[in-house]
Amino acid sequence: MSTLTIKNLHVRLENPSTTGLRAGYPSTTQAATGHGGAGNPILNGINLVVRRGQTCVLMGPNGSGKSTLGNTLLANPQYKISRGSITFGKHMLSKMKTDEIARAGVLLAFQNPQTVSGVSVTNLLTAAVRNFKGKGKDFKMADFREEIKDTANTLKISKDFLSCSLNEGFSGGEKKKMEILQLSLLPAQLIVIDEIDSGLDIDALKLVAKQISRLRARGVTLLIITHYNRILRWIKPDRVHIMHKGKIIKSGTSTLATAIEKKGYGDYIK
Amino acid sequence: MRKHTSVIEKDQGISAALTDRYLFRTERGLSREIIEQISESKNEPAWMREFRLKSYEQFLKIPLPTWGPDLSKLDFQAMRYYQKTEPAKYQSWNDVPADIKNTFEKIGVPQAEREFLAGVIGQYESEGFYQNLRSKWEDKGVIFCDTDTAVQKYPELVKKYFMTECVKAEEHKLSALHGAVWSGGSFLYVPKGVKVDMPLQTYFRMNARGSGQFEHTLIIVDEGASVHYIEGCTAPIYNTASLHAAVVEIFVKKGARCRYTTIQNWSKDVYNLNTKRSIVEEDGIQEWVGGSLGSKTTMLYPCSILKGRGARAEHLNIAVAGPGQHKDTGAKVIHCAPNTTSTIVSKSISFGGGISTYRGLLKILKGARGAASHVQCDALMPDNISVSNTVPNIVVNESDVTIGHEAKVGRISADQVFYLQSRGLSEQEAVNLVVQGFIEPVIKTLPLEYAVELNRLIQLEMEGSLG
Ligand SMILES: Nc1ncnc2c1ncn2[C@@H]1O[C@H](COP(=O)(O)OP(=O)(O)O)[C@@H](O)[C@H]1O
Ligand SMILES: [Mg+2]
Repeated sequence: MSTLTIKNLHVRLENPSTTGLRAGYPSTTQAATGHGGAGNPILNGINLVVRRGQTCVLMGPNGSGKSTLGNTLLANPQYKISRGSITFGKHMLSKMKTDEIARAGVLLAFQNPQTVSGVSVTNLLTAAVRNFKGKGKDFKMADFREEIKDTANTLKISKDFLSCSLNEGFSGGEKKKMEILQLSLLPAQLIVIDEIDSGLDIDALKLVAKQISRLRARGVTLLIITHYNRILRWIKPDRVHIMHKGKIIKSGTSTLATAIEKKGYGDYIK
Repeated sequence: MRKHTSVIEKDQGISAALTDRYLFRTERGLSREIIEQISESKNEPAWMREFRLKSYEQFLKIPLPTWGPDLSKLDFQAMRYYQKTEPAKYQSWNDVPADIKNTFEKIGVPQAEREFLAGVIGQYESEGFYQNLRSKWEDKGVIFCDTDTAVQKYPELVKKYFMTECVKAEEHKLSALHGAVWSGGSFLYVPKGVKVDMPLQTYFRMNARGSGQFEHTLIIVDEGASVHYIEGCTAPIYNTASLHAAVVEIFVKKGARCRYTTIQNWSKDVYNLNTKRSIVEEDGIQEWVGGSLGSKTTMLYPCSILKGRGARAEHLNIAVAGPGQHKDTGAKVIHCAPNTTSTIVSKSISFGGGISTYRGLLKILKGARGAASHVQCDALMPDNISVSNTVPNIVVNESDVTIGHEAKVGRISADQVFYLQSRGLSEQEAVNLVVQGFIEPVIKTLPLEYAVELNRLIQLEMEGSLG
């Protein structure tokens, strides 16, 4: 396990024509027409350390750049790092490609997961797991398939969801559960969880929170992005950071989250 | 996994040696004399020779189609129409000459035959060289042989069904050409009530440069019978355009069922221009499952004529068009009788500047009350430089019908690729997975061996497509 260190990170929207993808796939979110506009800065000098095994929470009003940070950690080609660096242990994440970062054990639970027609979560996971080193010499695909089923069981994901098109026609909550399922099954060291609590009913939230606690107990480092406090009923963070307009404006312990719960962000954002 | 039809990458070595293999071949080009030579070499009865010559006259008269892909570079006089390589039809792989046997070993044919096929025909260049049907089916009266053999052994059946009712020579230039120079192909007859529960397969292989292959497949599934026939076609990589103009005629009698599956993987210089049609009688079912890979230009629109009440057609097709390729494929269904039903699912992948067009015809004749049809065309384009067209023609002359039509163009979005990469897949693996998902509805109808193979072929074809 390693420490995540983000130093003076500046991020802007990538110009769509210079997107890193060579084949030039179109982007469904159409960066150029979005609120930000191509070239506009989104993150303006983030400094953040998440020590190995720690659980940090990143809070902040809508649009403050939380998801952008999560996506930048995974080198989403929509975003360009204009200054600063991200390291995770010996890995210089800010110089790596998305799949390399994932294989280094850094995974992201998406705020808005993609739909993949004709590909089930089982298809995806069995294809993905092959790429991870250190899954042990005695790794057997058949065992892995069982593990998928068991974890789905704990998350109360019904069997059908394991073999049908990933996220196609799924409710918000079902998608979120699928994210946690995937991250639980790949050998993760650092997991960024983006707004897992939105769209979940209380029972589902409890299940997901429990699963996150299990990951934490395994020693996984966690960066939990949320703008509510709900999930913190089950998970007590080591550190809480408040983000606003692309900067960390306040850091503290879990009492900071409680304060925000009571008074909102008003005191911190001027 | 099994390796049949997976020739492209291993081919270069073995095919060169085989290129000039022939016992007899006609000169390049086409004339009455050449057609007579073909007929004579096959020792055909006069009626077939006459039929060929009559077709040739039609061929001279009919112009090339003016719609669809550009065929102007097709030089009929530069082509060699007939190349016979073997003196006999072998019934055991032990008798097959080593070089040909090796080619077919490499694509896994004998192994597939041992493991899961009811019968096999192997065709090399113009004619079948190997044929074998498990005795279990032979005893039940199933006939499975190459069409040249059928002309000799079952002239009555051939005379009755060969280009008389289903596909006629005078229909278009290529059917006329086919009638004149056809050679090889499979003849399959399944007697009343016999349900053949293992697939029968024919493998076609075209090795000679600048040559044509014109196999004729004739399938008759008698009342209440059922069969699954599979065709795999491959040709190695050459740079002199070759022509493949096959005709497939299928007769599905009352209550019978025929599934025709073909996975074609031609080399990228072949013109693949086929005519395939089935006449389906009362309560009969015709299923077409096709995977079209390779070739320079493909024109293929399997057609089901739903002649009898309650007849049904299912068309499933995947076409892949890469750089320099033009796939003009689709389906035609003519509903002639009440309560006939059809579904058409056409999937295409265009990449690297490839062009794919769905060209369909759905026709419901007056009196076909209660007919129902659903057409679904899905196109996938992983990039911005490829082309996908849809030309669905729907002609309805009856009011009591149900018709659905959907057309979707999907792109592989950057977000989707990023999402999959964030799970540790490389960019190519991510694209492959999206493609796999896209073709999954067709893949799942194939026997496992073919499903794996088709998936693999498509990935091979698209490899390196990311620039
Ligand atoms: N792909 C994009 N296209 C256009 N604008 C974007 C894009 N991604 C982020 N932005 C903009 O950057 C800002 C931060 O967004 P985001 O990171 O999603 O915030 P949060 O997750 O904190 O709600 C917002 O103003 C948003 O509109
Ligand atoms: Mg967000």
